[in-house]
Parts: sequence; C-alpha cells; structure tokens
Amino acid sequence: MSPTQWDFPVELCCRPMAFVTLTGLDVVFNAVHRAVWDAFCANRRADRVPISFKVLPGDHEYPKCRPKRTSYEWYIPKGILKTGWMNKHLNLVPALVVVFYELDWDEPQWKEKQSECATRVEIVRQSLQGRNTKVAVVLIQKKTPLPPGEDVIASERAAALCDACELSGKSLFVLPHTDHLVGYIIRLENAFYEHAQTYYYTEIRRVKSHKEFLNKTTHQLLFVRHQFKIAFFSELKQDTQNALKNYRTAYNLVHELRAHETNILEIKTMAGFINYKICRLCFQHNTPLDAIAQFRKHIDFCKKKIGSAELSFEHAAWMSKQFQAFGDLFDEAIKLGLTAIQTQNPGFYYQQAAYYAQERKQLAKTLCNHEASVMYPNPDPLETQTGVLDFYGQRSWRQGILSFDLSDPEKEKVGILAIQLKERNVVHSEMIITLLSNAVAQFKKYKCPRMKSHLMVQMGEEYYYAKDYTKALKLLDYVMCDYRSEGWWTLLTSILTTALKCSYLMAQLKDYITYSLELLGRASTLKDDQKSRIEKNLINVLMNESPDPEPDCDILAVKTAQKLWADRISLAGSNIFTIAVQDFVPFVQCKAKFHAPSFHVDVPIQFDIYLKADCPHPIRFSKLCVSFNNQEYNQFCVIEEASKASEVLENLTQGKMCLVPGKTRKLLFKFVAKTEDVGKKIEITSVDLALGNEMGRCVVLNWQGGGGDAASSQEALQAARSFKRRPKLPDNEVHWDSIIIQASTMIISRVPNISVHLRHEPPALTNEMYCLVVTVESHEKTEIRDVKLTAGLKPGQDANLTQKTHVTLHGTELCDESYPALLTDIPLGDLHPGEQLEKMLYVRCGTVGSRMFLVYVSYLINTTVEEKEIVCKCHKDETVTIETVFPFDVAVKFVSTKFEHLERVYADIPFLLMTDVLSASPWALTIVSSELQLAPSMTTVDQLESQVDNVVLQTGESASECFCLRCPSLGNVEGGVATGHYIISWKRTSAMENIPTISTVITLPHVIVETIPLHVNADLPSFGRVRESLPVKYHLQNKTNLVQDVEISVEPSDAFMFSGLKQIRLRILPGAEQEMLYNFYPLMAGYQQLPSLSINLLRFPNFTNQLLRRFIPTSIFVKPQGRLMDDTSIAAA
Amino acid sequence: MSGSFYFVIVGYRDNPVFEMKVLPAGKFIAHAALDLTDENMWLLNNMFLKTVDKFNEWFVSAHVTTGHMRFIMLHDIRQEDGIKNFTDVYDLYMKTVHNIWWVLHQFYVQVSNF
Repeated sequence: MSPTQWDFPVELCCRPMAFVTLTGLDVVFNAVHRAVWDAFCANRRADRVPISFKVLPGDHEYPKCRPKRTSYEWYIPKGILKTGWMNKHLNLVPALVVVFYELDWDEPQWKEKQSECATRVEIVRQSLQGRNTKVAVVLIQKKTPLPPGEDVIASERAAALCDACELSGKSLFVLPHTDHLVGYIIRLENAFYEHAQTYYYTEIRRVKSHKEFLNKTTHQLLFVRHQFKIAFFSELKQDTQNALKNYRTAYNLVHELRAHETNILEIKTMAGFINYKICRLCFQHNTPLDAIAQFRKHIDFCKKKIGSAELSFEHAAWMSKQFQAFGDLFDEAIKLGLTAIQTQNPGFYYQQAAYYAQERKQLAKTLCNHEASVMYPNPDPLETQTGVLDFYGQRSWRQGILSFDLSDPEKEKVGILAIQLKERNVVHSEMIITLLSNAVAQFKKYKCPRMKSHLMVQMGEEYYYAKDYTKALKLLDYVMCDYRSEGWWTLLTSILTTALKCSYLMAQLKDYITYSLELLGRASTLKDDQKSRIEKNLINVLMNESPDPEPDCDILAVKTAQKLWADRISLAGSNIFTIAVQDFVPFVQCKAKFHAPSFHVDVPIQFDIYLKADCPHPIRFSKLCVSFNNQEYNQFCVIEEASKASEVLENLTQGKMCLVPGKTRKLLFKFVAKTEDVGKKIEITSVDLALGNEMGRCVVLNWQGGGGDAASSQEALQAARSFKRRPKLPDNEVHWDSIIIQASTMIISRVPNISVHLRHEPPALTNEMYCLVVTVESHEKTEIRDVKLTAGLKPGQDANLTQKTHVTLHGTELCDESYPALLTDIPLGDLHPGEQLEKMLYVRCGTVGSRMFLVYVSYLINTTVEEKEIVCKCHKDETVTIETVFPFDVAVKFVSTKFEHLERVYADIPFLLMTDVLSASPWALTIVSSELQLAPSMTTVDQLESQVDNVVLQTGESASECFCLRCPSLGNVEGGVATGHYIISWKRTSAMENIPTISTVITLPHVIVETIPLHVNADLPSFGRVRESLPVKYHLQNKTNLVQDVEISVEPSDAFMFSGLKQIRLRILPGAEQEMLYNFYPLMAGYQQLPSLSINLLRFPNFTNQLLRRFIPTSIFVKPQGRLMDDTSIAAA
Repeated sequence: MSGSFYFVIVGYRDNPVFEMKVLPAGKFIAHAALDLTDENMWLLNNMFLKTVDKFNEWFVSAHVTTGHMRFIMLHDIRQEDGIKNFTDVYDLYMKTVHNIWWVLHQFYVQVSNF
C-alpha cells in the first residue's frame, strides 16, 4: 500500500543518527577513495557508532541558515512543526563536514598543496555560513606514519596546515592508505562521532537559549516546537533518556494548547507524533509498561477530540493509525526479546485499530454519500504550491492561519467536500482486513482461540462487504464449527446468515443448501418468518428454480447473482448433492433403532427410522434408504416415492413421505437375515434421506451410523440427565429425546427344540472306562436332519487335562494316548418328531480332579420366515463337571516274622510284606486278581499266589495280603533296595462283562537292608505249663567271615527255674552255627517273662541285647498245672 | 444506549447454559472474553474476577464458580459495585444446583434487581 495521509512520516519512524558528510572523495573514479567510502558504509554492524554518512562534493550548497532572530517580540509562529524540519536535520544539515585531501608529509610541493587544502576548507565553511557545523580535515597518505614525536617534519607541517585551515589540532586527521584501513576508519569515525555530539549539544543549547525570549500568550506553539527540537537533537546525540524527558514535556505542552476546530487536527497530529516517539523510546528502554501507560493516557486525551463533525471519519482514521502504530511498536519489541502475555499483546491494539477502521468506514459511508453529479472542486483546494504542507496537520487551504474564526467559509466548504470525495475512494475493507488479520495472527500466537474466532468472523463479514464472497465463505466456514461445537447457537445463526448471503450471491448451490438446512434447523435462532422464507427458497431451489434474494444484499450484487442462478438452472446433470450431516445441525433429525439387541435367524429383523423436521412448514422427501455393513440388505430397506411429480401437491400433509414440523415420524423396516450371518453383527452404516427429486434438484442428507448430527450427542447427554417429566403423548407417538439410537444388532441362531440328557455314575475312577449315556429327544414339529454330536472335554481348560483325558465310543477296549479328548461331529442321523436316540460314550481319565465335559448336539431344520423357506442350523449344548478319584488306597508295610514293625530288614533273614487295599470308591469294586512282581534283589520264602482273587469291596472295606520274603545280603545299598510292584486288576462290580479290567500298578517302597554279625533264633513251644519242663533251643549263627568270641549268659527269672549253661564263653567259626539247649521249668502261670538271654560279642560291641530281642521271644504264656482229679470231677459233674 | 447488558452462564464445555439480554448485539464479545476469563481465573484468587476485558464501549465482568461455571456479564457502564450482584446470582445458582431436580439446560434464574 502506498503511504496515506495518516501514515507517520519516515523521518519520524526512523532511528535518528548523527549526520556527517564526507567531501573530497571521488568514489566513482578513484579506487582508493572508493575503498575508504566502502569501509565507512559497508557492513555497518550494531557495534559501530550510529552515524549516517553521505558523500558530497566539496562545493555542496547546504541549506541556508536563516538570520538569527534578535527578538521574538513581534514574531508570531504559523504552526507547530514544519514538515521539512526533521528531514533537514537528518539528511541535509550535517553535524560535521569532513574534507578528505591526499597529502603526504614529505610532499615536495608542500606549500601549494597546503594552500589548496586551505581553500577547500574555506569553501565548505562558506556554504555553512551561520551554522555550528564542525569541519575536519583528513589527509589520505601513502606512507605509514612514524610514531608520534619522531617525525619532526610531520609535526611542523601539521601545525602549519592547521594554521592555514584555521583548524584546531583535534580536527586534523591522517589516514594512511595501508592494510589496516578498516581499523583506521573505525578510529576516525569514533572521532567524528565525538565532534557530532558536540555539535548537537550546542544545537540543544542554542534552542534552549530562545526560551527566555518567549511569552505564554503569543508563543505557545513555539514552546512545543522548541521542546520537540530539543528532544529530537537529543536523539541525534543518542541521549535517549533526555530525549524521552523532553518529548514528555513536549507532549504535555501540546495538550496545553488551545484547541479549536481549526487547529485540532494539527494538535492531534503532533500529539500522535510525540506519543509515538515516547512509546518507541519506552520500548527501547525496556519499560513496556510505561509505553502502555503513555499510550492509554494519549488515547484518553485524544479520543474525544473529534474535530469537525463533517470530517469525523478523519478522527477514526487517526485513532486507527495510533493503535496500529502502537501495535507495530509492541510487535517489534517482542521480536527483539520482550515477552507478551495473553492479556497484553499487540493483538488488542490491532483489533482496536480495526475497530476504528470500521468506524471510519461507517462514518465515511454516511458523510460521503454525495450524489454522483457532485464534482471534485477545481482548483483543487488540497493542492499547495510546493505540493506539500508547510506545517504538520494543517489544512492546505488555510495554511499558517492561526485565527479560530473561519475567514472564508466558502473555501472551507470546498475543502471539506474535496476531503470527503477523496475519502470515498479509499478502500476501507482492505485496511480493516489487514488489521484484523494482524490481530488474528497475534491472538493465535498468544492462544486466545475465541478472540481469534471473533475476529475471523469480523474478517469474513468485511470480505462480504468487500464483495469477496469466496474468501468470506472460507473464513466463516472455518469458525462456524467452533461456535457449533460449543453450542453458541445465536452466534452460529448470525454467521450462517452471512454465509447464506455469500452463497446466494455466488449461486453456490451446495453451500446455499447446506446453510439453509442448518438455518432451518433447531440450532438456528431465527424467527419463524425468516425460517419460512428460507424454507420457501430451499423448496424453490429443489424444484430447479431460483431462490429469492437474501435481504439487505447489495443491489448490484443481487443482479449479478440472479443471472448466475438463471445460468445454473439451464445446466443439466449433476443435480444430486450429497451432504454429510454429522458436522452440522440440519433441520431434519434422524435416529435409527433396532427393536432388539439381537434377533434369532428365524424371525425377521425389525428396526425403526425416526425422522423429525424442525422447519416451519411440512416437507416432503422422495427417498429414504438405509445402508448396512452387509450391503446385501440395503435393497430391503428403501422407501421411495411411488408417484411422480404430478401428485406431489396432493397428500402433502399425509402419507409416509411427508414430514410435519415437530412431529416424530416412525418408519418401520423389516427384513430376513441370511443364515450365514448367524453370529455376526448387522450394523447400519448410514441413512440417506433424499429431498427433492432427480427432475429438479436432489439433496441427499447422509447420516453416518444410526443418525445424529453435530448437536445430538450433547442433547442425548442432557436428556439422560434430565428429570423433567415429559407430557403424555398419544400411544402411537414418542418423545424424540427418549429415542436412543441403536444402530447395530446381532444375528443369533434359532432356539433349539430338542432335549439332551446325560446319564452316568459319578465320580469317575482313575483310568476306568467311565460310561456316559447321552439321550437326545426331538420336540420339533418336523423332522430334523443331520444330527451331530460333539462330546468330550470342554476346550479351554488346563492343557494337561487334554493329555490325560481320552474319549471313545467303544467301551470294550481300553483307550490309550492316541485317543482324542474331544470327539467332534459324530453323525447320529435324522430324528422324527418325538423320537429319541441314545449314544454311549466312554471317558478315560488318567488323573484325579474335576473336568468339565461338553455335549453339543447340532441339527438342521427347514423353517419359514416371512413366507421364505430357510434352513436353520440349531444346536443345544450341555456341560457337566465330573470328578475323578482313586478307586482305592493301597498301604504297604514290612514286619518281622514276629509281626513287629520293621524300619529296616536284615540280610538273609526272612520278613513279611503286608499289603492293604482300602476301597475309596462309592461303588462296589471287584478285585479280579492281584500279583506281586518282585524285584531281582528279593526272593520269596513261600508261594506268591494272590489271596484276594474275586474279592468284592464295598466302600470303606479293605483287602489285605501277606508275603514272606527274604533279601540276600547285598552289601550296603544307598537309599535301600527296590522291592518290586504290586499289580491289582479290578473293575466296577456293576460293569458289564465286556468291559475290560483295569490294572493298577503300585510301586512298592524301597527297604533298607542291614547285615548283622550274629543271628539268633529260638526253638520253643508255643506255650508252657506250670511245673512241666519247657525245652528251649537257641541257634546262634555266625553271619560274618570271622571267628567270633561269644559271651553268653542267662539271667534267672522269678517265674522259672532252668537247667543249662548259665554263663559260657565260646567261639563260633565263620558261617557255623552253635546250638544252646535249656530246660525251663515254669513256676507261675500267666504271661511270663523268660529268663533273658544276654549275648556279648567281643568283636562287635554294637551288637546289643536290644537287637537280640528282635529275634528271640522274651515272654511266653504259661498255663496253670492241670489237676487231673478236678478234671475228672468236672467231667463227672 | 446505556444500561444495556447481556448476561450469560457458560458451562464446562464452554457452552452457554443460560442467557439473558437487554440489548441486541455483543454476544460475540462475551464469547471472545472467555479467553481472558479463563486466563484470569488462574491468576486471581477470587471467584469474582471484576472487569476482565474491555471492548470499546463494552465492559466484561466475570465470576467463576468452583465448579468452573462462568458467569459473564457484558455491560456498558463501569460499575464494580453494581456487579456485586453476582453474589446474588451465585446464591440462586447454588440453590438451583443443590436441588436434586436440577436440569442443566433448563436452568433458570430470576434476576430481579438489575
């Protein structure tokens, strides 16, 4: 955009830098000079001193200095600040003029050169007549200078040159043209900078010195002017603190000026400038809060200073510019590192700027609505002689006139007219949109989404006013969904209304229809008459006619639009519009509901589609179709208008195809599911409702799933929470809110009509062929075919069970590992109604524990649904849990021949193995046979034949066997010696003949075998009799291969007298046996302790009498003496 | 036109729950002011956030309940005292909320002293 009247001048916005001119440099033809100039101006980084350099010819004419005023007494200023002043001090009047001159100290023609240089300096001085501008001379030398003080000629000649040029020594510099050019230049420019600062300091002093001549009545303007100048010079001097202080004073002085309609623009303009400078410096000093405070004060001061009512748009333009400029300053400061926050960011200022730009547009619209016949005045009152104004903010037709009265009202009128006519050509929308989009960018950055949306709405509206409908629609469409999702319906309606206008004016059919649909819907807050009008238009569009124009549209635009609509009609084809509704809120609502969450395959699937229109007038639809995940069902769920357009007007309010506002329309659909879909889910994927027909235009509203749009999920939630009592409705009507969408259903198999019974005798016994009798009885009315049985271990249990469970149909043979755990699809044939069949299954369980068994019977049956014959597969299953237990417990023990419990057996000495089988089965068991299989290490003493053949054991009964065994000496075996196996063959007593017997093998425990050095056994009768001799023979066997010394003694007992060796010491040879014979003579009757035999082996001290007692009896029963007489007397009696 | 106002109660999902107005426009401003209300809510300890925003001639005052319901008041006269009425509204609101028959979308408060 080209700068407008309201833009700040460049010289105000730039950073003021000391102005230094360089003369005597031929930068075009002289390479050395070129290099010097480049070193000054190329790549100036921030660390270089702030100077703006300019190369000028030595005889350049600088702006003339006006003669010094000696008195201000009669002087009346014509304005506050001249338009050229800032530029003059930035770019025209230097602080320092530098004369470059090529001269070496050893120059042979020194005199001539010296005077030429002096002449050049003089020329410069003359053109700066009256100014305080400094002059300096730089000698460009080819030779590197010697250190100071060493070159005598140099110091002499330097002094001479200074004299000739009337320069102080500080203003003469030498620039050797050597390798270190940039270094020399930097030193030079630092020196220049000092001179420049001195110059600006004197300028400040000079301006300040005027003050004492001023008086408050006539020189008010000068107070401001001087203060501004001081501040500006301070800025040039880079003294920003003082600059800020002086600008602040200047700002206060501006507001002290007497304001009137004639000078208010000037005052505002200057106030704006000074305010800009203050804010800029505050940001520069990193005091943003000061900047904001100053700006607020400024706006508060100025916002009521509107000035001429006829030009009030100018005030709005000025306000807009103030905000925009502040926004720019703020944004710039942020780019340099300032942090802004949500509540304070440049966006707010751009937004205000946009607001004032909008106001400007409004004001311009009312103030500049001149007839087309009004001509721009000639001569142009806005033209000035120079083409520019003398003072900032003055009117061109009365420059420098300070009087508050209008000297020439006619001229004033013409001037105002000219401004108004010019304003008419301003493209306001463009400015507004630029400002708004600046603001949007800021609010986006500072995360104010709703503020952003608000501004985007304004932008969209502005584009609408600017007739850029495409962009308007794009923006409005973008923000619409934000307002929709948050449910701000009034705001949405307002946006939609503008969007509808845009789409009308562009004749965008699809958009027009979409917006109409929503504006007619429940989210719209439009009045009924508006809705009525929109509905009428929508119906027109559907009938392939043009809609009426939207209200308040630009007349010209409407004309264009009408033509576009007319063109649209003549175009044939592509007149079907499919509109997905889930992203907005259309005026037709739809809900689909299956009657049940699941249907049996032999009953028809039923569901309802509920439709409700929210528009003011009844509306007809032409087609409704429902789509499913299995598309084959789609064909069954279509309602189509049978009659064609001719009958449309009749039955308008009746019939299925018409939706009456506010009334819920229920449409029932029914279809038969396919048998192969049993177990699957049927889902409504979409519902399509067509409005209009293909003859005209057709709009297809497309609901995803079972209906619902952008607002319905929230409504459903609210309805669910609501405790509101709904008014009672007639039976055939329902409350819309109470309808809950159910968009899917399951197809399940037909209910079986057979019975399955199981007969068995639990628990099962380990490893037996457990019999399970399955009875299937048909209760169906027709024959069932292809009956199949699947039975066995129910899948999904412990994997080990599968290994240890086997099922077979044949009970006559034992099944082994190769049999499966589950038998599948055993064909059972067909069954007539009422018939039943039985099947026996045998299960062998190898481990104890409980198992679940499954019995699953399936069959086919023909049936009719909705006059359609289908073959249904039905099935019935039964599960049963069966416990498996051990049939019996077997206990084994080792005892001595004296039936004493043995913990270990002695080599070569016979002992007894006793088995005890205890039945644990609740059913009687028959032990068919038993067998003892001895390990090779064991030998038998007598026959090993079963003593329990064909014994029947009831619950809790037990059967015992006893075997006499001997274990030959094997030496010391770790962990004992294996005994062998005990095998029991058994079956249930109730089991049939052909059921095989089961052999249960019991591994007998190991036994520890020990050798003993001496074995003693006694021969004695089973009882004695008082006073009758009782012969006892002890056998002593040496079991070692050593000769053993044995000490034997017999302790006397009270109950016996005895004869035989009482104490003896003897030797027994290896393997030999010694017999000891005693005659005991019992003295007392009863169970009596025998005289105890005590043996001491000298070689085996461990052989104790305790051990001995195991082998020989310690007591004997003594019968009383028989009395012969008594016996006979008894006999006689 | 002075003395105009627009009052809205905004729910958890930023949806308007209850509206009351004595002027035609300004709703966009109330909605946009939610940004600053939400920001201020975490900066201040009070439930009454005073004037959270200013749009030209419109002032926006806000009050936030502990349950994150926001009362937004758009008015064209600066009057912190007058807005103390939020306490009254809050009273009524609490009574309504504690009523077991409370229905969010039908929530209605009689504001008599504006």
